[in-house]
Amino acid sequence: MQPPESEQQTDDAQHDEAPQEMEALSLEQQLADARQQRQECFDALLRSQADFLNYKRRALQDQAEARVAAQQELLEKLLPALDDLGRALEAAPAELAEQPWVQGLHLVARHLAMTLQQLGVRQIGSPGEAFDPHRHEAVMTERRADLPEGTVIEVTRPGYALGDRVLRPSQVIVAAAPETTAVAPTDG
Amino acid sequence: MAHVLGIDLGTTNSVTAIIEAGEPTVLENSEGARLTPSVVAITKSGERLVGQVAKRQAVTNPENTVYSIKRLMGRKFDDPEVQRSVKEVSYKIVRAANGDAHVSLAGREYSPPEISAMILQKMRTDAESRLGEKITRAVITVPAYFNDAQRQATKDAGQIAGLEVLRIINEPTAASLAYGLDKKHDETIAVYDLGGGTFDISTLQLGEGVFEVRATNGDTHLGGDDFDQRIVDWLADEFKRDQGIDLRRDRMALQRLKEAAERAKIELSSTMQTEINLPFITADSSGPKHLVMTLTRARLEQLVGDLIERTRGPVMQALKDAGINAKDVNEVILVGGQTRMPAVIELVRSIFGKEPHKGVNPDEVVAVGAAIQAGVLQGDVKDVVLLDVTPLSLGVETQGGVMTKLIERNTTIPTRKSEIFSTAEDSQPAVDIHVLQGERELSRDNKSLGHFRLEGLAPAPRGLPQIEVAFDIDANGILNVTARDKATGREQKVTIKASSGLSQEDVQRMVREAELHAQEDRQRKEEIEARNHADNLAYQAERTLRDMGDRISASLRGDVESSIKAVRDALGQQDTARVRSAADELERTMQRIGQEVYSQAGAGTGPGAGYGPGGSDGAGTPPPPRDEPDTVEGEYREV
Repeated sequence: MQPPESEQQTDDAQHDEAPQEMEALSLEQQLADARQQRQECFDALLRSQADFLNYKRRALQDQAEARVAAQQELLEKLLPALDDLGRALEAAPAELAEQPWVQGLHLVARHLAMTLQQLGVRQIGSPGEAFDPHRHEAVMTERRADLPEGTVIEVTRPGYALGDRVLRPSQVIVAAAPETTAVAPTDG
Repeated sequence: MAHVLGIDLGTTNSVTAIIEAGEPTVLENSEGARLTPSVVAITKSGERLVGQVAKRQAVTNPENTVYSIKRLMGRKFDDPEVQRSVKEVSYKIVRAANGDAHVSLAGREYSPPEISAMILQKMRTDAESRLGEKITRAVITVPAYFNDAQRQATKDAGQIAGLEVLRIINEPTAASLAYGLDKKHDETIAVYDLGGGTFDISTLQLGEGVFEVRATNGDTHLGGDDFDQRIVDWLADEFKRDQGIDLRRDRMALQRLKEAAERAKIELSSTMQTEINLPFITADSSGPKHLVMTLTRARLEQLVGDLIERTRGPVMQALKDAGINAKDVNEVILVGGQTRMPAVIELVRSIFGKEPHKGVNPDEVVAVGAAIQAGVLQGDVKDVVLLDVTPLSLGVETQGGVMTKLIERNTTIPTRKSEIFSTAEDSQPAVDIHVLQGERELSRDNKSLGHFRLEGLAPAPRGLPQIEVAFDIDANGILNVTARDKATGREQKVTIKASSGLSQEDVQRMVREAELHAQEDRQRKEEIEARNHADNLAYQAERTLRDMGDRISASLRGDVESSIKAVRDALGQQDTARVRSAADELERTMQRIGQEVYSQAGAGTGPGAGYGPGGSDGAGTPPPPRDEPDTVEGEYREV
């Protein structure tokens, strides 16, 4: 075997090794490419799995929320009729109060109220509370000297909540300050 | 992969949507609503409110509650539109140092972009908590007639809200995207947008995937609210005529009228008449008063006819400005809640002589289009791979000629599913795997994709071997079916190419046929299952007799034997009822074996000569009931 340092031979050797080198390089390149591709595929796989798990998690969440939303929708539709019943009872003439039929009607209304309560529905909003737009909807203001500004004076239509979720805010009349508040400072 | 939000920042309401798994989805806000009122307020205590909550306190805080801020975006104080707002709105509009219109709230000046940014901020925060990820980018829509200053103002608003606005797109363009119109070629599109407070008509020209706005027109103060008002006035007028009281003077009654009017209007889009029922609407000295009236669709159309007709002028003008005839318009799109009204659709239809697109929720269509654009710009997704589904169910033939499905139709591929089956006869040396495709219950009614055998099974009582059958479909739709005997490890498989399936029509036909024959197929299947069950029972009984030997009294043995014979005879006939009753009889008779054996004192230590396939328990448990989902019996049985 010839010593590798010989120039002549090196030239020849180089000449012979060139294609092999190229082949080796090409293989190395291919290997590198393959590795990268594998990494990309693996990455895509992980993302896909992650997306799936996230979707599952959200799907469960959505399902739970959908149930609540469906209940909410159903109850919301019943509320106007409930309001009307409330109005009817409020307007009951005093002289008929002892009449059995009228009393029966009150019992029916009470039954309905109990059922709603059992479903987790409760009334929200009462006079004296501080106005809170999360629970109340202001339909009118009234200047009052005897009440702090922003107090609920009257509930004109009751609000309801299911659990801690507001089904419908109560419509209220809110106390305003007795004299006009100072106009906002004029712009500069 | 962070989502890019598509946001419709509207005058009255705003909507957010994203693309999820290739589909646009409207995101609910924190209150669970898909629409967020474009209202901002600063309370006396300095709290900032946005959306429905801000709306609710408007009456208590009118100077510091801002709505319709879009009318001020990018405009100078002297702009006529701004001046009109100055007269109409409850909050203070002021001239900024540079001549722009600004809003004065709680002693501070705000530019319209700052106000809009508060709305965008809420949309963003709500989206983030719903999606569980940070959002930093958005696509926001603007009216086609917005000039540079107005577009820049919108972009600024986004930036203030912490959003990189990837693009500002025109609302009619967004609507076109929502209907997939960008896939068409060289089309003229008209977008008719009738919302809560404004009317906009736009004509677009689509060419080479690019939308060009040709002309716009409209009425900035015409919308659904005006329609509602007509109904309120009608109700109040009728009531006044009947009962002598003007309900408009009663604040609470007016409130109820407004709500009822809106509900009635919506009802009448899908019914011909509706009742407006407002008991105890007011009261006077003679007692409570009720309002009960019927509003027909015809009457409603009379009441609002002129409002609808008012949209015609701007439409014709826009066409004229674009230099086209109504008939030249290829596609018409409806946007805005009020376009749900049949009379409005009819007007559009009559002007353009064609059916308008209305499948996408008109309140949400612009946001959906923005989301679609956002999805395109999202870019993170490398080559969204569209996955196929397998169009028909795949399975194998099991005992009695029934098809047992392994992969349901419309399952996304690639996918893999395997189940364990077993043998139907004692010492069965091989199993036949018959691969089927289709929806019918009986294998003969389905398409056969291939057959193969797995041989070399060790001799064993039927039901004991565990043959794992796996169906593996790759992304190209190529199906590999493998059968492997868990005991010996022997395996056989067959590869079925995708094209050996069926065409679209075939698929639809097969699904239809399956539905038509569902009833009789089910019955057939039940009959087969009854037979399989009876056959099993007879086999078990025979084994038990053998295993129990002389622990069973002669008389009982005789009874069991004749019950078995009755079952086998019944199986020889085609009478399923007879098979069923014979099987029940046999089951009852077999119960007596247990009773007899246990009543023999101290006899319980016998070896576990169980009835079950595995023979694992010594108790006289009958074979699993046939309606348990896991025990499908086949030519080889599932364990």
